[in-house]
Amino acid sequence: MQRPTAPIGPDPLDAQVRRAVGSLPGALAATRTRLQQQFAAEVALARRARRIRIQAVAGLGVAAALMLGVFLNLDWLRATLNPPAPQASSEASPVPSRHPQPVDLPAATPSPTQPTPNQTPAPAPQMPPEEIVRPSKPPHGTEPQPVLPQDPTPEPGPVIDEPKAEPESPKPPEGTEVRPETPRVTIAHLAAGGPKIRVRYGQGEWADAAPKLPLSSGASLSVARGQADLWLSGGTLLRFDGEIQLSRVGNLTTIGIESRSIYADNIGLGEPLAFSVGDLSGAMQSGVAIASRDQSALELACVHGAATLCGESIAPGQQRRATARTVGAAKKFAGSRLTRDLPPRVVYREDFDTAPEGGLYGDGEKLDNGLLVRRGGGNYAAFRYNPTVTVQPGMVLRFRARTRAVTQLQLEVFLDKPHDTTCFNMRFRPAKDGEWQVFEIRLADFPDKQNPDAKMQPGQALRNFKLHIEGSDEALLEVDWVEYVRIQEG
Amino acid sequence: MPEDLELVRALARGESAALDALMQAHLDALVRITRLVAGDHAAALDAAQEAFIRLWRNPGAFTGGSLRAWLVTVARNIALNEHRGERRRSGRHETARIRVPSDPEIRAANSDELALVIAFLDQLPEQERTALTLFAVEGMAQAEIARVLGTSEAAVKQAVLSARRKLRERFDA
Repeated sequence: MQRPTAPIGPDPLDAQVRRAVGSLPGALAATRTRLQQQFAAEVALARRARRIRIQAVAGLGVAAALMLGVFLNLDWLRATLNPPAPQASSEASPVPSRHPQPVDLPAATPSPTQPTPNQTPAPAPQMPPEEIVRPSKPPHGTEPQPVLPQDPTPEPGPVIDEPKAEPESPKPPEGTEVRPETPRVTIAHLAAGGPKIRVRYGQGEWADAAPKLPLSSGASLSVARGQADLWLSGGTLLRFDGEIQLSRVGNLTTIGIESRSIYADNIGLGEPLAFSVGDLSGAMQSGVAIASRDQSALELACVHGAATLCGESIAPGQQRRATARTVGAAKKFAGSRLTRDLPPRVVYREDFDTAPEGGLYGDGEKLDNGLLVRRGGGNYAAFRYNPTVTVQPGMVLRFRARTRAVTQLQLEVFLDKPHDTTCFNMRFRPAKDGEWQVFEIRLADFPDKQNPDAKMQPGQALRNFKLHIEGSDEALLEVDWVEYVRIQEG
Repeated sequence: MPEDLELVRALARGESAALDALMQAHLDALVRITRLVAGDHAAALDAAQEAFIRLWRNPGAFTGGSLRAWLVTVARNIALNEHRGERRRSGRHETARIRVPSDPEIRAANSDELALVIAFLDQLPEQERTALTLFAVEGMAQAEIARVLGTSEAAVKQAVLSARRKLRERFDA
């Protein structure tokens, strides 16, 4: 039998904690407003959906009654039309028509199953036009607005003469009452924070974009002031200060520049980019570039990697300008304000959910539930990068680890260069035993083991991560993840 | 509280006044508690907001008892999941850097004693700081805290006592 736990006694420390937590800021007014707005929108939406369901059920009921009527009339017609047919023609209209049949019907009245052109088909249960959900207008946390008759979106169904006499027209799309949202593939996300961004699809209306808004191919984005960041799904960072349009075919993302400039960083991501202004285009497989629109010209600057403009290559540190007539000579890149205060950019990451691409090579280490685990002083946990990691300016190495009974850790990283045994080495003591910590090392401070005054240099290729354990046999090292992050670019 | 249950039922009927009353009663406290779980105010706001949204979308999930505990449970799970997800996604997004400053750094940076307490709380393991916060600030019973944390009463007691001990050690250092 489980013994009841004795209650926790009071402690003077509790009052201090109470005061401290009470001093923390509470909810913002904006949070309350947002909740109220969203609640109101969802309640309105739910009521609307309920109304639609009721209408649909009522419509189905009417249709069923009419079908029954048609069926009964058919039997009755067969009985009465044989012969003479003309007697039944004016009374036995199979469906109620809004267009009264002329009294002087021709003798050969068509059968009820072949309605005349004047006849209106049986009113099938249908959605009033204002209930149709339009994929082109995704809700942004507000109640969907009714679709107005002047909405320019092409609508299937008959053309209605003005003024509309019958609220049932036009017909809804075939076989459906509510058009489902067209499934869209997310190709990018807006970053959190930043300036106000507006978004639209096609020629739809501009709408304010929420932070972290998922974006699909065809999205146009506009920022009136400042610079906005977004991430493509493959990890490419984009920053723009005007208006752009995103489209993706296969794995190629094309950025149409409507105004001003865009910064793009897709180093090592296998996510190629194209930039376009009208018929002019540039491309970048892996690198950092800034593309700008100047009237109808496209300017492309290559910061890292390699880029092409209308087929002409651009080296790092160079920029070129293309017009409809020519591609200008390469000039030295003059710099851009888009490269200031860029967000951190992960270049390489290992989560240990599966074995690293380059393989583990610390004898006795193992992966356990997403962790790289190694026990015992004198041992090490190690793996190889694949592909190698190239040192870039402003790059740091971070890893999250937990240790027990470890007196020191020694990190070693080797260059990936034939016949070159250069090893960068750093020794440090974990500050907290048994707690997760993130360790961060600036590569520019990472010393060469043989020559501590020499540090890692941009452009050097690194091939491994090796963490030596110093401590007793009981020492335990667990590594959650390892990543290389570029803190600042440009 | 019975009135909470009534308010949740009114919320299910779409009464915005019920939402206002519930926000008035719980939102600030929820944000503060979640702040300690999430580690930052923005994440706490997101999680608290999401907890309210889940409440009105699925009001049947709250069947009585302490609504505050229910909201804390939901917001805490959201914050923890978001943190895990952020870690997984950080290969593609901004990396949330966790830095554990040394005690002298904290003391230098936080002349305000209350901020110092928060900084020390932030360094405790999540379960310990949440247990201590719910016990000391919300006055929740051990059984209720155990339900929120998904653990036993004995573990709650151990977490609270351990959190107090660590805080005292830091203050005495």
